[in-house]
Amino acid sequence: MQHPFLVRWESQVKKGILEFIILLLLSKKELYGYELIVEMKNHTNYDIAEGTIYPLLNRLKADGLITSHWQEMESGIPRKYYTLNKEGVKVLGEMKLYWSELSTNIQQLLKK
Amino acid sequence: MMDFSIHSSREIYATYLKRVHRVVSPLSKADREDIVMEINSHIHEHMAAQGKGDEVNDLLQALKDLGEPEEFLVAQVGQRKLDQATRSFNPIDILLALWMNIGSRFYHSVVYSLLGLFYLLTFVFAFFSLFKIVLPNQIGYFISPSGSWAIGYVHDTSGMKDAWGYWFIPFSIGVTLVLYVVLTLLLKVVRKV
Repeated sequence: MQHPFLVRWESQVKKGILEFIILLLLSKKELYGYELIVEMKNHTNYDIAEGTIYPLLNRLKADGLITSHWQEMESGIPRKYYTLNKEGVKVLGEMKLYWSELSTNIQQLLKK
Repeated sequence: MMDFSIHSSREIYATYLKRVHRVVSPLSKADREDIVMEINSHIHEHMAAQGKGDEVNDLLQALKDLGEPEEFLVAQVGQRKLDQATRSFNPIDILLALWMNIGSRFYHSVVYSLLGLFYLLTFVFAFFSLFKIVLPNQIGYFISPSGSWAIGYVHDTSGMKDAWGYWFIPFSIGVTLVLYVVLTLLLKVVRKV
């Protein structure tokens, strides 16, 4: 059984980088909500409550980093696609830089 | 909306959507429709991708994975209500938005509570501007012979001079408008932090 501190810490780390992961996935291609969850599970092994993705997408949209549009489908049920916009690309670039620096620093600490 | 072949599926789906509609009810029609359509789309895509051919169980699994609408929608409804309030400048939207977002996070709880208090002060000035007509001797800017002053409602004004008279009404309206606009713009900024 995991130590309670570790459980809390893992949860905080995951929560902290969730938006970073969403932006990274959206930088590859536009995605709709369910597809984003599947991609997230495939790439990161994250098993999040599916409904929690929508407040995050809404927040990123309100922050002006992503845009969305509805697309009609043959099934008759439209999909809402999310796309990283110009501002989002810029912010993601800075996030990547920060992540690289942080990762390098942590790696150095781990080696010592 | 989705179409099901089994009666039980239709009932389960309708009950779930009813809960969704209840949670999103404080939002504008456009926001309500947007959220419901997205949930509908999610359920459809989940069933299409992971469905095993048993309609009822596939639907139940999709709803289970999506979560309880009363839990996962709260944050989104709060965010959208704030957006709507800062766009519309509607006092009812603003009060609702503040109420819905107090308790979301510690930082937001403190900030929105403070903003709520300042909005209350704003509405007090609006109240003064209206009731100056009804209570002209108790509401206003009063100065006593000793030089001390009081603004707003004063129960006993004997010996005090109503310095501005009915000019207190445009003053109160002005204060109300300035505070209301400044606070709402502040709310717009705070919402993004």
